[in-house]
Amino acid sequence: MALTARLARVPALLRAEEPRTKPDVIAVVAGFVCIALVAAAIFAPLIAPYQPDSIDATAINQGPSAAHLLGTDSLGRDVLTRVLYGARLSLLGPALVTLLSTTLGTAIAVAGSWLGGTADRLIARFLDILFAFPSILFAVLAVIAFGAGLIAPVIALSVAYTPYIARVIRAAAVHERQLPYIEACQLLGYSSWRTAANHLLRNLRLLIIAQATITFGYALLDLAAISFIGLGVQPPTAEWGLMVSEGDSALLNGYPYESLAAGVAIVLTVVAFNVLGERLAARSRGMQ
Amino acid sequence: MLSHVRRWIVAPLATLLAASFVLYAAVWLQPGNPLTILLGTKASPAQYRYLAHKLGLDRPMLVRYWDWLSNAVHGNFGTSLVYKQSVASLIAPRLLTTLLLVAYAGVIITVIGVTLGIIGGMSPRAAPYVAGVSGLGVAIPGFVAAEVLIAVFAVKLGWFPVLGTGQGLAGRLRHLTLPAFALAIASIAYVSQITRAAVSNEEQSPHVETARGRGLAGPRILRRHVLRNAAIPIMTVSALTVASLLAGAIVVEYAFGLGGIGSLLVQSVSDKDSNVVLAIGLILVLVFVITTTALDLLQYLLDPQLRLKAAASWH
Amino acid sequence: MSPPAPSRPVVAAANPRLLEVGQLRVELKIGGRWRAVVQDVSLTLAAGQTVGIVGESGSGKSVTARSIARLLPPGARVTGDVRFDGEPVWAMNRARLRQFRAHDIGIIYQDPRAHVNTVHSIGDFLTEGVIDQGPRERRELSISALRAVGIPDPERRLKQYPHQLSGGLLQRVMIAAAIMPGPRLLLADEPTTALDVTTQSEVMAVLDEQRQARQLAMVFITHDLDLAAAVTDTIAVMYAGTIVETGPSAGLHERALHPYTAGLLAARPQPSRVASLYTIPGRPIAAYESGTGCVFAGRCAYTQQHCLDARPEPRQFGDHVVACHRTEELHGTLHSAGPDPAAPPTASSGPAAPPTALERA
Repeated sequence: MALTARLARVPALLRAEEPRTKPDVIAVVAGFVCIALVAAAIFAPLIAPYQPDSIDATAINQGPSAAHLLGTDSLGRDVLTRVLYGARLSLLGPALVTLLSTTLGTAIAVAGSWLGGTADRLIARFLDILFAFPSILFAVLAVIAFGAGLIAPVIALSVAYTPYIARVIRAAAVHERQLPYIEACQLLGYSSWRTAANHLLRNLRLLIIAQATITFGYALLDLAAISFIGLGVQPPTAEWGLMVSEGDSALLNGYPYESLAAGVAIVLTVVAFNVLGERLAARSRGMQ
Repeated sequence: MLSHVRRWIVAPLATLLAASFVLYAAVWLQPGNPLTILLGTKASPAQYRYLAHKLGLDRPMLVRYWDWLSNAVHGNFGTSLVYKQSVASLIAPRLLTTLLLVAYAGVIITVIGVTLGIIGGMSPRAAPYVAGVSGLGVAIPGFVAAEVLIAVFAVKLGWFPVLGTGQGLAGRLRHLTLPAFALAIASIAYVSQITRAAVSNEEQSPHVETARGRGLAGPRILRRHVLRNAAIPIMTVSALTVASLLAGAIVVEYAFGLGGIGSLLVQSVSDKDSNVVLAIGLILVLVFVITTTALDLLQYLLDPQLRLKAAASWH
Repeated sequence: MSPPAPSRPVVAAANPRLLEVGQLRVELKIGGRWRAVVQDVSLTLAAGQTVGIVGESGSGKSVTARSIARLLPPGARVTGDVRFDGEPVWAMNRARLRQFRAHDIGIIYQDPRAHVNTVHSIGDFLTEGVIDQGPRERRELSISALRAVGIPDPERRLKQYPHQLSGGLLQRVMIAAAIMPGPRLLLADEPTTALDVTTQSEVMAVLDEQRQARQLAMVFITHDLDLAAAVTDTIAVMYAGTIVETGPSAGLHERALHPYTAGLLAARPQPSRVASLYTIPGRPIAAYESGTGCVFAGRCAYTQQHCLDARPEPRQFGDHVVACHRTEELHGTLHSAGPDPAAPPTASSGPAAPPTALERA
């Protein structure tokens, strides 16, 4: 093999060898649940027994039955159907938030750790301002400026979460940056971009994925809360947070089905993603 | 010395300033017009212009921002467009309710969360149960907890009232119990996770082995060596959690119809009552920045090793 | 310097069986499975006598020492016997165990920075080990203990915190804490490994002096054969969780009867000669990685088929006890291979060592 080709393999060889570990049962189960939830959202029209907005005045506030597995709400709409359809927006929002904040946060973190010095400090100061806002407040501000719905809170939360992600990734990036294989890349004449993208990021990918999964859970909770207080998704669209709020009056009268079904959906999803994220994070720590 | 002043006084103040600007900018961007709220839609253009000038709404944004900020610093938050009274007088009683709620939840979180964490950290048998319960708990948002608690304890069992704030201390506490627990659940779980990790970490540390090897008794080791050493991270997390309760209170107050600043915030956003929104937003940001700065300072004072690590981290 | 004032009178009639370890086997849960880290360790110690346990990392020496004080992680599986003064340590109830740890043994650990709680003062650290006396007596005891280990100005030191003391001083404090309650047995787990060389000799001097003055028995764990030889009467060499050779220190550090011990001796750097260092081929294994035959068979230059099939029992040979099938044949060869690494031990008879399960894995 040509010398240059052999030298080019050096960085890869110097990287920590990934240990072979046996599969983690709990993580696999959690992963399956996550996939099942996403599938349920995507295939809702195929699985759901009814239409999400078909009102049935004769079947108001009914408990679980053969016809309505999770009961009906105060307008006679089938709860199971609305939960399935609600999954679409309830999962899409957090997915967008996760994508945006993880990308932004990772980019800022790697840039900060790479550039160092003044640039790094400036970035830190800027992020400090974001840290001053509780994420919900940020979302509320966005709604004030840009109106209720899904878009404004999604963008606001993406911005609000970025500093938290950036902080975690940066700590790991600073540590990785000092490892010998990075220096090997630079000595081989790789550009900064290539080193950062191909090598540094690749070693951090497990941590990034773990962070993203955990962020998903938080985003879901925050977005559902925004919809709950009426500043997010608007009726009659099906969305879990909104359903918890809409089911409130029925609940006070002893018919908790809509609220509880949506609430369980939220908790289940967040638990599944959290467990998966934590297992991945533990693995990434084990590899460092 | 100079770097210390910069870090704990100048930096937070700068952050607060910038945050207040973000706050104001968001409200300023709001579509819709306070003038139509006050005058209705049928007034003449001249009347709008007159009122705009009188209220100072025709000045550039930065001037208005500075004006608002300098007034706010003195406690003058302007007048509510909806309630027609000074924002400060509107907020004050509600602030009390919110603080009571947060304090109540804070006590619950500290007592239950830390106790669970200690049990999980010291007993390997109990640990998986504590971990499981807390893993579930962190996934339960305030509003879901609120609805469940209402369904079970208010509607079904009738032990607690559903809505309203109540009279007198005992009445208020009774009304605040379900909201406090709803607010607390996710934080109990989180605090117990952190406590369990800190306690378990200390319990396995070499200096505890030394204590055991010298024949010290269990409770003594727990007190002097495990808890004493784990206290710092536990206290830090607990304090940060309580600060974040203020944000969570927004949702819980709304769910329970409590007369606190959280529900007022939600109401004012729909009402487009800008001055109220600005005031409450500023309070939230202030509390957040003060708490995080104070905690940072406390950690720095308690742990000399952090002074060396400061160079490596972002601060 | 001055004779100590122990809290109990020195036992006039020395107990020939102060400590007895019989066929100790310790299994720990590693990677989800039970794995032996110590297999079949036996030794006897008389009062006032010292034994050095020498081995590389993973040989099981620290676990053996901790088993004596029952300081293993909860859930460790232990079979075999540990008796102190005739009393089985592993059968003691909690109260008796606490008494035993408080009064009969003193433990000195490797890293004083990790083993002394940083949030309490030195004075607090010293006094908390002596429970049955009043505050003034405890303070006096602390001060005299600090003096005994050669720390000047002890009153001032009592108020200081661990991070204010150097590693060497802190280790002396640990020694002081260990001897204060007047134990009869010391367990020293690599007490000087974490210190720099000059401090090492100072601390060792203090430890040795106090041990002799109080006539304490000692189990001294180390990886340094020469150090063990300097401070102990007997040396037990451990490999893969079992003792492969025991012998008097004076003789053993110059001649070895077990190929592993010979290898350790040969691998010592000698300042008087410039040559490439001899190393034992392969890597040290833990107890659970050893097969059915001799634990050292995978790396030994003298392995024969018999060595792979049957584990050798420890046998008396002169004043040593050796676990090797070929001691009678080899003792002459190992003799000369000991101090001269230029000629590493070659396979003198029998077929070349076949690849072991270790190398195939």
